[in-house]
Amino acid sequence: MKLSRRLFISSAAVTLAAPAYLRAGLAQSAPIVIGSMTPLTGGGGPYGPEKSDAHRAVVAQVNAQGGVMGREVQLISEDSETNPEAAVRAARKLIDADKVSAILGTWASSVSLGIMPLCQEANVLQVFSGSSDYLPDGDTKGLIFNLQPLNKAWAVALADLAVQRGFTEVAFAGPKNDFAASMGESFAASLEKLGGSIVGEPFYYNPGQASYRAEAEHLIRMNPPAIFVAGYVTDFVPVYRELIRGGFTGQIITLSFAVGPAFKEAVGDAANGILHGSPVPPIGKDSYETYLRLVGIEPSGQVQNSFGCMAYDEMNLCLLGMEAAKSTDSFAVADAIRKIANGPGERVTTFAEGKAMIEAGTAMNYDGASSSVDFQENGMLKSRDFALYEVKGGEDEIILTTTSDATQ
Amino acid sequence: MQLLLNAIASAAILAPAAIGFTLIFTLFRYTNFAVGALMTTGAFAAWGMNELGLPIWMGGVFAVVFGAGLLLASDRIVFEPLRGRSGGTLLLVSIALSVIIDNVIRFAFGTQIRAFDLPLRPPLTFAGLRFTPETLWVIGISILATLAVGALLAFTRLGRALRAVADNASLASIRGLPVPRIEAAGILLAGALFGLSGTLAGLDLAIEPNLSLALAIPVIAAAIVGGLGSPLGAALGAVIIGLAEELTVAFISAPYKGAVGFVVIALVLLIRPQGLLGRPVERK
Amino acid sequence: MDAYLVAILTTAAVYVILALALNIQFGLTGLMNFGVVGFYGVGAYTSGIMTETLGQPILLGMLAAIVVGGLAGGLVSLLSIRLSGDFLAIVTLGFAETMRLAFNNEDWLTRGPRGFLIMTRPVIDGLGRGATAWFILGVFVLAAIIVFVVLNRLAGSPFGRVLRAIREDDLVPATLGKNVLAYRLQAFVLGSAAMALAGSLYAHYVQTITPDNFTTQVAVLVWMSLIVGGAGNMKGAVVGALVVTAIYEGTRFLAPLMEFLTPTQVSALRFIIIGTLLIVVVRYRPEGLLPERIAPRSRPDPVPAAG
Repeated sequence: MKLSRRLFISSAAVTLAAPAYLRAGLAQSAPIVIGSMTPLTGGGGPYGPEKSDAHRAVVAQVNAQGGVMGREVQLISEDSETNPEAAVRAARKLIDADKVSAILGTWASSVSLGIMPLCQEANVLQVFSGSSDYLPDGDTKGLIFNLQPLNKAWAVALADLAVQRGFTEVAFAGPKNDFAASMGESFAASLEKLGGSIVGEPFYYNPGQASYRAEAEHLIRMNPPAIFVAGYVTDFVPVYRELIRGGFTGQIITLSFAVGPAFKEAVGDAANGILHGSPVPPIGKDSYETYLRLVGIEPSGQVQNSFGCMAYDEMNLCLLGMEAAKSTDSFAVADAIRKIANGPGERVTTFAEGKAMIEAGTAMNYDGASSSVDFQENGMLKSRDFALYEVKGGEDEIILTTTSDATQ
Repeated sequence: MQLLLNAIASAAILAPAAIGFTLIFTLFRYTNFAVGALMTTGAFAAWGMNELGLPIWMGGVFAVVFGAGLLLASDRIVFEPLRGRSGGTLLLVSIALSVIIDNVIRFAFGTQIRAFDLPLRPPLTFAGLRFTPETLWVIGISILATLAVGALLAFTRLGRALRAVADNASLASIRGLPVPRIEAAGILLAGALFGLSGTLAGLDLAIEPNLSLALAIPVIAAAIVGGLGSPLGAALGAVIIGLAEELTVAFISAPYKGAVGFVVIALVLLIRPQGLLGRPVERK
Repeated sequence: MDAYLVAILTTAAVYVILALALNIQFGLTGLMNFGVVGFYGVGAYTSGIMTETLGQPILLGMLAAIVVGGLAGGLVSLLSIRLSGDFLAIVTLGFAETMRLAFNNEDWLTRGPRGFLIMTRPVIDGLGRGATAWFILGVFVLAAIIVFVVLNRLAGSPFGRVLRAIREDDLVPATLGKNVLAYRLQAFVLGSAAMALAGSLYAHYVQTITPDNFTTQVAVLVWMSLIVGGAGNMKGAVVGALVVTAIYEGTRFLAPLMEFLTPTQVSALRFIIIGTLLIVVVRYRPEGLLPERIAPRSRPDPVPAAG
């Protein structure tokens, strides 16, 4: 027992001492503390780093330009592990130990929803990208903003694009996660509204397997003219390989974030002919290119960092909201974000431009790297442009666009 | 028939690792959960060489050497001081090792996916069966490896020594066999097989540091189903697991595929606790 | 900071119960249950379904969790009655994975990957944020103390001694006329029921549960707790759970010292440290921080299998 008592005291001391030291450090300069929680491990691993990089880059730039309300912004990064269990613990630390004003960057809807009760209870602002139709249900205080359109909007837009392209009979496949599961249902419904239909039942598989051959074989046997595979890059690569190696010759439709540069490098020329759609990061637009250059990427006219650009907007909105509200109080910041995002006012695309507007007392309308960023009352996007691309010669070529109204 | 071919193609990837796993198990009597992480390392090793411009087969050779070295190193650092500990402790330690290896890869390479420089082509058709040259290569290499290891164990002096040490190390030592060196040879062989399987897995999957669990479970399942201690059994076990998975997706429910390996293990262990081709292992 | 410590201690209390539960299965009886998270998840979902779908009070939810968890434990135990050692570990791991797949795919019951929202909380209404947190901590600590007292008493009883005897060598108690299988079954059921209780508490604490809450990672942390603390010793299980939680949480605070690394690398380094610590403890302190206090011969790390 002696040992245990000693151990108790010393471990308690370590746990207590580390943050106390940090807290003392903060008190002198009183920076604004913001939490960045991105999926650095687990299923979201391929997408998390671009989000956390975007957060860091914006904060570094803003700090170099004098900070927010003249205060330094301190960014604390935590790994959500793409797992709500781990995310809740990380959120506890951000909220209760670091005293963050906002948590940005959560990616999986299960994580955003998982930490929502904590954030609501502590009045912490959440700005994230997620597409579960259930996301608005967890917020009763008006403290969430979502840069990604919800599932229903995706399904309407993608079904529309598929039909326009002449595919009315489409099979659906996707990993059994929140995103793809709701997508399957809504996609089937949207397709039927347009006079098309789903081939067979929506087909779900389990992500994180050693082989996807059986799944591909099942789809090939259904022999549909087109398959919409709503996967992430980690499962889409093997599924696509097995479809091609299994002799599937129909059209494959997928989501743009599954066929980014890493995918094209992985499958080479075989990527040609894939149709993919997504909410458009506005390729060629100044705000998008400013973001890409900020994180050290040369714009290629292709879909790049489709999640990173949302993280860039997350941070810009949050910091602009604080600057405009002259406060870090979440309710005031949320009100300010609504005004800044929706306008009316002069177009701004960066924190520096926005800060100048605030100083001049002019109203503004933030135009983001991921979209024009206009929110509904519940913090979800009003609408977003979707595009359908075809991969040709290893490049994305835009073929159709549509605007999905998310307010219906 | 197509289902059977597909099952064999999936099994071919897992079989070498399952044999390696069974080798470690018979030598040291513990479940090395790090098999998935070692395979992932193998895939990364092969990819690294491929990225430097070497052909994939040379990458594979490097992965085999690297896998052997890594397993020997991890045995020397981690497992050797723990010889004689209970299976539970060693299983837990191997899980910890797996976490370490995964995160070393993540630390070094990040989380973005990688792939071999390998053209993706539609299949050839022969007698109504669809297959690609890659599939044939994978199956061929895997069968070759299985037979080679089987022959090594059955017919060579090293093989006989390995079996003697596995049966009873102290007796083998009394009979004058250099037990530590034989054990080292077994470890190198198992590590090489992990590296090989990892390379083969990399041909199908997106290579990323998150693969370990997905790879470890079917490999361990195959080894147990086939009967620990029997290389041919491990290969057969891999085919059975592959076939059971194919059938589940085709006729039952795709999302439950992940449970198939376990159900098969439970059934086999219920009916024949020593596995299909295994001899009863005396164990606590 | 106080609020953070309260939150961490609340989570730690859940892990304490899990580690105690595993201790009766593995520490005392030697049953390698790697499916901790399966029973934990069954408890969480049972309790959630009881209070949300069926509108029952929370105490009934906990009770249902304990009953269903115990039943699941009985079933798994009967199915794997002839297995021991790492075979049992693999089968129970399979049970946990199968349960996770069921949580993920039986949407009608569990709402699948969307997550199950739980509004019922183990608190009295009208408390402020801080008071609520303290109240929940109180409830959890109380639950952990009850589990500790019950299991500790059992461990010291004749029942516990038979379990230890089975762990060392099941032939001896068998020749003494003890029904080894019945004892093993009882130990397994008892532990599984306690794990389900922990799941129930956890569910009503975090309020959203998804299949991702119940991955093997949790089981690994519980195993770490037990091995680090000292298998076979109930106090060891408690200490182990607290130490492991302290390490898991404490390593978060290393991040500001490593600004030169990317967040991905910091995260990876954290796991490398945690894994290494476990191996180091196993190597240099094999009996855990608080070794079992009986004759040195009967350590929790018994005779290796023949070989």
